[in-house]
Amino acid sequence: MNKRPNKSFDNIWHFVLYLGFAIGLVGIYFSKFDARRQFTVLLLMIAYYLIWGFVFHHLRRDATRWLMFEYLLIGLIGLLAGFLIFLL
Amino acid sequence: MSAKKFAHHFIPHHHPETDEHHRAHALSHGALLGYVLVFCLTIGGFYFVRTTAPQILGTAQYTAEQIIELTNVKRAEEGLSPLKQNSLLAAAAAAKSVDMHSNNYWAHYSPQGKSPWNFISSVGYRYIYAGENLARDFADPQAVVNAWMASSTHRSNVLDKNFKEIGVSVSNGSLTGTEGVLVVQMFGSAVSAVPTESASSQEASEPLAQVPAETEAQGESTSENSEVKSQDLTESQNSATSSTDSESATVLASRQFSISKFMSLALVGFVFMLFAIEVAVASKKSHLSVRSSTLAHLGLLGLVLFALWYAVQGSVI
Repeated sequence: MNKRPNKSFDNIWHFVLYLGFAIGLVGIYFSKFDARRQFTVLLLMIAYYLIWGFVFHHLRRDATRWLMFEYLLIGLIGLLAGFLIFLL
Repeated sequence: MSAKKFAHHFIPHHHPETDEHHRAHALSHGALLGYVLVFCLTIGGFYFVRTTAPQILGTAQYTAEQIIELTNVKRAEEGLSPLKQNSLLAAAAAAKSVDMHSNNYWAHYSPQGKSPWNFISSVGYRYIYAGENLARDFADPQAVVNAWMASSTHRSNVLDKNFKEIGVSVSNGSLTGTEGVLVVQMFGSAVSAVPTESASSQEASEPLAQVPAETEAQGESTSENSEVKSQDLTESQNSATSSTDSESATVLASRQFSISKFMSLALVGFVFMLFAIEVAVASKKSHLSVRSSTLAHLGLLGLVLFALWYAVQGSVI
């Protein structure tokens, strides 16, 4: 039953993910000299990435605890780097 | 052989004995957890040093006069006349700075609804034009003025030919939970500073005051870029001439930002590079495929790298 999704499924989902990141990029660019706003945009992007990963891998039926843990760790690295630069 | 084993830390590889493909060891969950811990320790370390001995992270000092001097350099580059220091405007800027610290706000308008023009008027400065720029947490005066020049609305205040005088306050203190330096820059054109014929032509209109448009974008308690404020132009004129009033502030932990930026860029860049190598290797070898999660990680880390690279110390409104 563990049917492998087709390539276009992956492509569409990755397009959606990268489109969100592109919007985040613009948000960060236009928030220059406002560290708190830049951190907020980064926080939203990390939340978006985690939700995307959860939904995408569940639809793909390859979501495992270890994979979700990996997403969490990468998100945490981004969050801590942002905190160090923008808030500390 | 040992070189090959060492390379396995950074590139995906195949274990013939188990016939399994492995990602770079430096991308294992344990390694990723290690990077998280490095960030946690760095944040904890910075916090500890900042609270106990911030001078370890470097100190810097700058004055209001330096800000005024650099502002006039920018005006001179545009062929504009220099702004004269005014003790009343300096007093207004200092009062605004005290109010911001005591009421803990970072905005042009106080939570009680006090505008910059209230501070200017309360010290007795009668103006035709007035403006305000704010900056915080910059380690040197050049960075402050550069930040204002990079923002079109702040730049228009700095280069406004209607302004003839300036007052600046530079102070240390805690603001919205962060210890740092606050710079309040107030511009003005006193009634007496305007030539008689020009003044008479202005009499019909009301004095103008302006704050940068960011105030509006920030969602602060004002909704207008420029404000028209009624004031009796026929009242006594207060055009105090230049003063030597100059406040200074010491920036503690002045090198923290550059150290943090370098460290974050290096660590996040390293993880990004490992994922990029994984994509490059997987796309070259037919028996390997690029993991969908790897592309997502690359996207997020790329965004974080951009944010870190683009980050600047300090904020202006």
